[in-house]
Amino acid sequence: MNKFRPAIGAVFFLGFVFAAAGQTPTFAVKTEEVRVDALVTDHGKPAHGLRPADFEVFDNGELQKVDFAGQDPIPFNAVLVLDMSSSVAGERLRHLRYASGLLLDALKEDERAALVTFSHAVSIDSELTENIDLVKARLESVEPFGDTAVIDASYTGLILAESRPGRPLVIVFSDGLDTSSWLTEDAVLDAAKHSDAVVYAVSSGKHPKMTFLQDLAQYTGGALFRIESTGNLGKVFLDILEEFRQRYLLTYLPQGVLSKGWHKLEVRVKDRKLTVKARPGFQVY
Amino acid sequence: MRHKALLLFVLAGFSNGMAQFPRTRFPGQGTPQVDVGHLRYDLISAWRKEVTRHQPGEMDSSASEIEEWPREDIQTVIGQVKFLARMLANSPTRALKIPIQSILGLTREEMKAGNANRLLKRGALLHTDIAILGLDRMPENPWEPARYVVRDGRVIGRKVDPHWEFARLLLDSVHPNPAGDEMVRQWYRATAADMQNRRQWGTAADHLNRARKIFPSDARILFYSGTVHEVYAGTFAQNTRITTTAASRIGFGARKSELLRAREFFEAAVTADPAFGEAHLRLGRVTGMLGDHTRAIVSLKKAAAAVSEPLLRYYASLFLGNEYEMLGSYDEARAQFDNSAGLFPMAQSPRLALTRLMRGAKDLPGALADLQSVLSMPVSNSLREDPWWNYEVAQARDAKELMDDMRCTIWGLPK
Repeated sequence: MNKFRPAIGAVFFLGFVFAAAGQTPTFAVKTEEVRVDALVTDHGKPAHGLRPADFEVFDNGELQKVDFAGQDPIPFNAVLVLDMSSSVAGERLRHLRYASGLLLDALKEDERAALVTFSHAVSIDSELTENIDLVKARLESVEPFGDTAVIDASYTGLILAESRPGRPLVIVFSDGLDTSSWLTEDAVLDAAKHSDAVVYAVSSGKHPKMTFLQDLAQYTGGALFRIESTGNLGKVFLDILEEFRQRYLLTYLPQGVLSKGWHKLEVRVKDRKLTVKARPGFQVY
Repeated sequence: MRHKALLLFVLAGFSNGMAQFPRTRFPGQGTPQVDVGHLRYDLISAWRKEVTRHQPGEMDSSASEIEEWPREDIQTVIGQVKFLARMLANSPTRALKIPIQSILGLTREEMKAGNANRLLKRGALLHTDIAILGLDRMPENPWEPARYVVRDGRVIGRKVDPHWEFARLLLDSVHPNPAGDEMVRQWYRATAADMQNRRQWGTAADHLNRARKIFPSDARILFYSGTVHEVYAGTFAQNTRITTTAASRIGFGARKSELLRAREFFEAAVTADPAFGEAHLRLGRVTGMLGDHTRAIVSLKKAAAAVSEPLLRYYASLFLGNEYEMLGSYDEARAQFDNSAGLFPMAQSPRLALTRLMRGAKDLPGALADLQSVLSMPVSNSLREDPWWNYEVAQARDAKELMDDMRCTIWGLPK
């Protein structure tokens, strides 16, 4: 695996070097690599064996040189963001605990998990840890109550996922619309644009106008799963994990593009009719 | 019985005497259901007995008894009591006074004053307590106006609340004019607060529509009117609107229209009482939500200067932070969020706002650590309480005191 300095978000900065007072200042430019998480599929099945040269990455329309592309098992940080409002009780709660347990058991030794649960109150029940048993124990102790602050909780999941080095994965489950968050949808979607995290969302119940989770998944290159019942939630969680493991991690050093602002990304595979799913872009301060 | 017969005899002496009895309309009824032409002395007497016996604030045997009555019987009684009270107020002849006094159980002083206000107000109190403390009732038919019952954004049922209307109708007949009666004003203020405290927004909306007809310039009633529409504009109500298949019957509009209504009422409230800090606070909030952040800051600053309660200062700072952030004044925003975090250190909302504001800044790790320390505290710990969670009912935080005071006033009890 090529060495690279992982970036939290995509970061550019210019280093200004001043000569002695009175002399004309000179400038040295230093950039950090941009990291892009991409899922490549061939008729729905993950594509394997692609190399950097197989990819084309356009940053604001400028073709970039991909330095690294790998499906190597880079450890990731999985943050579970689970709805524990009053509507998630009884059978739904059982299914949710079971499904989360399956996902946690499927994590590998060097992968970390965190648990965020929410009603109107957002709780970090466990910060990122390799101690999966601790996370499972915390999950068993949480009881549903109150309203739904899925927007506040999703934001918390984003920042928690990036709190330690590693590929950030956020899995959000909610069975309802937001009823009590302080942060707005736009504020959190804006945060997602600055984030490295990939968000997979699972929504149960029939809410045709529930666009927040869909937008959040889309902005981060993830996906939204709508399920009718929580009975097969375990399979959905495992499918998410499996899909995430199949994603390529691409890196490139930006060339020919301005540092700050929105970077529209387009990721393609050359000469092959493969489907690529990646975040649509990223924002740099 | 003798007085009843006498009253009927006297009334029968008028030409078209029966036609002179007014017909009382009740909400939701296209045609009058009650004909006061047939005086129900038995029902009035039974009702009056329970009104007199009733202990305010309790679902006692009197309240339970009346609650079990068919709605039509209660409508009959109220219609007839109102009619008799009106007759009394119009200085009837001695021949009429005696039976009215007997039927309504009035004292000599009340007869001299020419009003049945005590009975009307205590009757209103009985029906108030039934409305608040009694069982939820389903509509009797699909066409009866009913309220949606919502939990966590989901409609879970419908219910009706006829006793509020019974109470209002009784108070409408307070002599000489309910608008000039401070007890009636106190009743409307207290009950509106109570409804909001219990999140009965539809009930409160109708109630306040009536209250404003009687007290159009009352700052508190205008304020409560604004808070109902502010709630209707909020995510809770708007998401319910989205998920309800009968959205067209849900009784409130889209976000912007509700915000405009709310602003209208809050502006009226601060016009009626320029020192009303809490009204300035909510005016600022809705003005900001309508996109006018500069004006919002003006109102919120007035609020911040006028209020001393930590809860209200918390809201003022939180909202000011939001408005400054929307204008790109990040230093001012941060100062305000810091302020609100200082007032309620374990509240999550200002911490979330601060981490978002400071993203990319050098002191973000510190802010993140603060957020994590708050969110890692068990929710069961009372210190974690965030006033934002209860903002939609914060205006009614004194509802219990208002109701207790009102009951004591009407019943003549010591406080």
